[in-house]
Amino acid sequence: MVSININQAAINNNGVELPLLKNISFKIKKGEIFTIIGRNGCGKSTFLKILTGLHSKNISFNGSVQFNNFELTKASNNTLLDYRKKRIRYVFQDPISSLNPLKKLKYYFQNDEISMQTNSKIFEELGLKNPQQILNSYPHELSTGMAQRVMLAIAVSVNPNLLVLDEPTSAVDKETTEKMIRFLKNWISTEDRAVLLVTQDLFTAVQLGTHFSMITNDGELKFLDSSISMQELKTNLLANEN
Amino acid sequence: MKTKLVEFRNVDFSHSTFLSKGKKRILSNVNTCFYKNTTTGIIGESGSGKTTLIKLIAGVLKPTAGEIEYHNSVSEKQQIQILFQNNRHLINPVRKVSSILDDTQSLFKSRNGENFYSMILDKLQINERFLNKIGYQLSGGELQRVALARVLIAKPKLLILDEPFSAQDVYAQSKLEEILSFLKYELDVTLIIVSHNLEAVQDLVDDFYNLNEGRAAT
Repeated sequence: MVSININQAAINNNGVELPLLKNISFKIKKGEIFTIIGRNGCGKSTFLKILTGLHSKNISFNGSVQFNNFELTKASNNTLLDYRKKRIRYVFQDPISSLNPLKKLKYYFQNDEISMQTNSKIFEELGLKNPQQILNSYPHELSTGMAQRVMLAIAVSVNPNLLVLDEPTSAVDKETTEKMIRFLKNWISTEDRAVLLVTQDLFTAVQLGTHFSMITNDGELKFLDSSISMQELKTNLLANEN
Repeated sequence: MKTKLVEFRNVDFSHSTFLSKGKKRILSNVNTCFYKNTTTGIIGESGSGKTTLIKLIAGVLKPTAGEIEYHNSVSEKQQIQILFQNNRHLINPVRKVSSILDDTQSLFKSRNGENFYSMILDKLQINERFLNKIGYQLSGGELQRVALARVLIAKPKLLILDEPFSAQDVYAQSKLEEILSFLKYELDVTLIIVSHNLEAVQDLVDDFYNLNEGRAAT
């Protein structure tokens, strides 16, 4: 489904090129949840932005990102926008600022009867009570934990092929995290779907991931065992200290 | 006997904005007290009103009914500091970290001294390389560290932390636990911590306040 090959990426800071990522190469196939962990500031979110064409202008990189054999790095902005609307949905780390503060949440969902029933079911599975009340709310009326789940519901409502999740469970309790994990495992089990997950929450990583990797402090991707435990993930992260 | 810092009496809070029709009640009849040198953990489901409660404690929001009384001069300027869950909007994206923190230090230098500032940077492992980063270059976890440095530079009597462990890697989490212990035991800072990660704070917390749909839960 997705084939990523980033030889190097750097950030331009006042004319000085600072290396960020290098030799990141992997594939995500249907039904896989490819999980990336890494220390704060190692470039995880930047990598997701390069992948989806949302990186800032001062980031340069060479390499390729292919989605179903289509080269995304050479695509026009409109094509990329279309892909991000329908095929590759990105759930950002900061959910509330991704929403228009002047639009009620129902603006983001189809409002025909069948879609509304599906959305209510998704809300229920994600532990969001009173779907109608939430849909009639403005973003500022949601807590961060609620907004994270609403963003996920918006993302899956368009039935994308690839979900890109950046810290999707950082603001929810363990019970809600478990609901989100159950939901995502169920979601991925049908149709042509895959997930790329970036998280610091090792519980979410281990419970949800099918494949694991870590971006090291040097910006390289290190593959980890697919049966890795939470303790082993923690050990890998701590061993990666500068 | 415990010394009172902030006392809530029959506090209600409802949302009402120019966009919303009618009012939405977030907190209802909250009666509680936060004491000096007592670390309180605020727990509750997502959307139960935890963040609203701490905004009321800090005076960012005013109650729609009931009253909040401050004791021991805690309401004086800058004695209550709050570390928000989402700090991206509070850190200027085009300024250097050093410039952001120097600005804060200039406000508190005469009160807390230069050594205290250096100690906070040291404790938070904000080194020269970090100080030279620009706001937009910071990751979620790094933003939180800058925001924490800013509130600590003020040396508050009461520090409120909203989900301080979210988006932090395991190394940063254990460092933060150390810092909170230091604040509690060495600097006598009273802490109120909102966290869904109870395991991380259970050794620090003396008292829990459980919210359920805007009310105190038993």
